[in-house]
This record gives sequence, C-alpha cells and structure tokens, in this order.
Amino acid sequence: MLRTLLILLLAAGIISSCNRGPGSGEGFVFPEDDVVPSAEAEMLSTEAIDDIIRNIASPVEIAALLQSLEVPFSENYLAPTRDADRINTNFERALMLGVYGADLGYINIYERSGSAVEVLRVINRLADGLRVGQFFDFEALRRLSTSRSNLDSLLYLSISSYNNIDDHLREENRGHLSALIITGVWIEGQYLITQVANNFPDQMLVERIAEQKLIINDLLMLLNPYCDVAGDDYAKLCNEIRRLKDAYSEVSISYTPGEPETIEVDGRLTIVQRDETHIEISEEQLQDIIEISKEVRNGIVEGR
Amino acid sequence: MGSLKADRYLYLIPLLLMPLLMAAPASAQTTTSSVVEECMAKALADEEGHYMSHFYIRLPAATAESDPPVVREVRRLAPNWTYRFTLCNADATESGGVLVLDIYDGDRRILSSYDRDSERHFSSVDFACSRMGNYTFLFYFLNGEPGEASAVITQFRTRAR
Repeated sequence: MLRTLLILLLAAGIISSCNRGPGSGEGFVFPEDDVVPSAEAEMLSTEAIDDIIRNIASPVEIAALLQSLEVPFSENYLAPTRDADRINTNFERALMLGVYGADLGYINIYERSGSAVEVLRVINRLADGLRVGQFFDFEALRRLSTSRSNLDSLLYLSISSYNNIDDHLREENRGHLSALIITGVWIEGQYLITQVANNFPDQMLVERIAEQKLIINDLLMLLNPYCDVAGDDYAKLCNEIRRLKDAYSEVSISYTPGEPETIEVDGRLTIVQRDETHIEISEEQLQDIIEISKEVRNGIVEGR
Repeated sequence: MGSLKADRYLYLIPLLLMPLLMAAPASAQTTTSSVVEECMAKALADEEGHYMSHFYIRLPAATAESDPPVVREVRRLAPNWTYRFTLCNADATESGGVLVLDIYDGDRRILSSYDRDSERHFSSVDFACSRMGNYTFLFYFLNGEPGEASAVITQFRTRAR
C-alpha cells in the first residue's frame, strides 16, 4: 500500500512539474538579485529557523479567533487585489504572497467563496513570479474555496502549500524570501486583529494583540540576517518592524504558574492548563499599536 | 460547518495524493503515507475543531549505545484554545511500537499520552491552553521500539468550565 502510494505521489509530482511555467525545470539558475550570499547573512541554525517559522504566524489563527467571537466578516479588511499587477520585484512578491495568504485564511475560515477566487488568482501570479507555483494546486484550492463544504481540506491544502514553499525556498538558499512571506502573513494578521479590535472592542482581542509582543522578537530574529545586507527594501522593512516593536515596549506580560488539571472523559485524556496570564496594556499603547500596524501594513500593500 | 463533517474526510484522500507534499523534507516529518490518511480521517471525523497541523513519525529501534530516538517539534499554542492530538499507529504487525506524545513547557512536562502509573495509553488527548508560548512536542515509541505513526492536531475554542 505504502509503495503504491509513493509511486502515485511520484507520478503526480512529475506530471505537476511538467506542467509548470518557465524556470521550474532542473538546472534553473536564480537571478543574482534573488540570492543573498549566506556568508553575508548571519544565519540562524536550521532548527532555530524551523522553530521560529512554524510559530510566528498561522494564516488562519487570527481569523479563527475572530470567527469564534462571532465578529462579522468584512471585505474591507482584505488587501486590495487590483494593485497586485504592479508588483514586479521578488521582495514585494514574497511579502504580498504572505499578505494574501493571511487574507485567504480569513476568507476560508468564514467560507466566503465569492472573495476567494480573485485572491487565489493573485496568489497564483505571485507564486509563479517567485517560481514556487508548483507547490499550489490552484484548481483544487479554487474548487474547495468555492464549494463551502470542505473547510478542513482547504485549510490542510493551503497550510501545507505555504509550509512546503517555505521548506523549498530555504533549501534553495532563498530563505530571505521565506522570511518575507512569513512577515507578510504576520503583518496582515496583525492588521486584521487590530482593525477588528478598533471596531469591536473585546478584551480577548486586546490580550491577543498584546501577546504579539512575544512574536515580534522572533520575527526580527528571522529578518535580522538580511536587514543590513540585502538592500534598501529589507532595511526599510526591518525599521518598520522595529518601530512596531518599540510601540510594544511598555506592554507588560507576566504569568502565574498553576498546576495542570487532568481529566478523563469517555477514554479521552484532557489536560487543563491552569497558568494565569497577566497583561498590562493602556488604551494609549493599544491605539499606538493599532495605528502603527495599519501604517506598516498599508505601506507594504501600497508599495510605499 | 458541523453538518458537513460526516463525509468531508473523504475529500482528504485524493488531496493527500497531490504533489505538493512531495517537497516536504524528511526532517519536517510532514510527509504522507497511509497512516497519515487514516489519522487525518479519524481526527477530522470529529465534530469539533478544525485542522491545524499533522506529523508523520517513523523511527528506528533504540540501541544500547544511544538515547531512544525521538522526533522533536515546537509549536506556539494560544490561550482559550483547546488542541486535540489524535495519535495513530500504523498496522501494529508492521510498525511495532506504540506512539507516545509528551508536551513540554520549557523543561516541565505538562502532558503525556502515556500514563506511566497505570500503563495506559491514550490515542486522543486534549490540551486546554491558558498561556501563549512555544511548547515542545516529543514523539517516540514506547520502550524504544521502532515504529511508524501519525499525529494530527485539531483546535477549537475552549468551553467554559
């Protein structure tokens, strides 16, 4: 069974590879400006990068939280797709691939099929531009996005696609693009939750915004190797993230450890964590974070 | 979404054959096999939650000279969410050991799917998280046996207790 499955996978992979556009063939050489020499970038260990990347931003986490709080869906939060055709550098392609990935997660969680098709079209274009289009099955994503009946399949497929792109880019020594995709996903999620919190004040949203303080440090750790050696775009992006980090400097997060409670119900073990989180964030700090998050995100989306 | 759950896992089988997974490196332990398909179907047949992540674990037997082999993964978990871990072993006659998941918060083990006192193994474990943080998952096979298995994480909002 396993062997048969592997043969099928191999065949599918070959067929898929054959269907890709130019540049996906064996021996393709990336343009020079697409590669940051590893000697110039102070690299983190592979394990450290793995841990950071898998944990900075999920394209669906914020959206799932909003849906569970019964916050209504709004297309106004989405990055406009009309400007996507002007994107012509890999820096912007990677950042916006992350931004639209987060938007796709939001659309998927709310099962808004009407919005998905255009976002998928743009993602397809950006992914092809980065020569990672082979990791998306756009026809399957489009079908699942518009059928409203396969949310888990859709989440599985989109999350796996982004994870596989990340793996591929890092294997190809294009980890800087991977870092940009992750940054784009996080920025758009941050924009989404801060805008919603502005319109629908909720303590849980405020706490989740405050907790992003922990993630910004990881994000900067991921970007740092490229901030000073990969060109002006990277330097500017790093400065923007640092500006956001500064806005978090007075936000306080502390914990009181508790003893986990173990319950068994119908043969299933449940562990209830009893740690308490204490968050201190003033209204002024929150508004500052909301405003800077908006500026940073709009700067990326508008190519400023 | 709940009424659609009963048959939705059927869609996963063709999806698992898609070439996108070809690129998953062995180190990430996110590849596919029949045990992943079966585990995904089992986890998603549940009425609660939505897909978050999955792992494929294949380990050799422990040797006298080295520590028992483990797969280590780190995931950030968030408060107010319950994470359900569905653990599935491949056919026992072929794969050997029983998969165990331990979750660590720093150096403190906060969860194990194997109760060492009663020697009971749980194939489904819920973790109701109350603190955002990076948690370390260790997957290994009981008694250092070799094995092949899968674990699927789904997540849903924690109900008030």
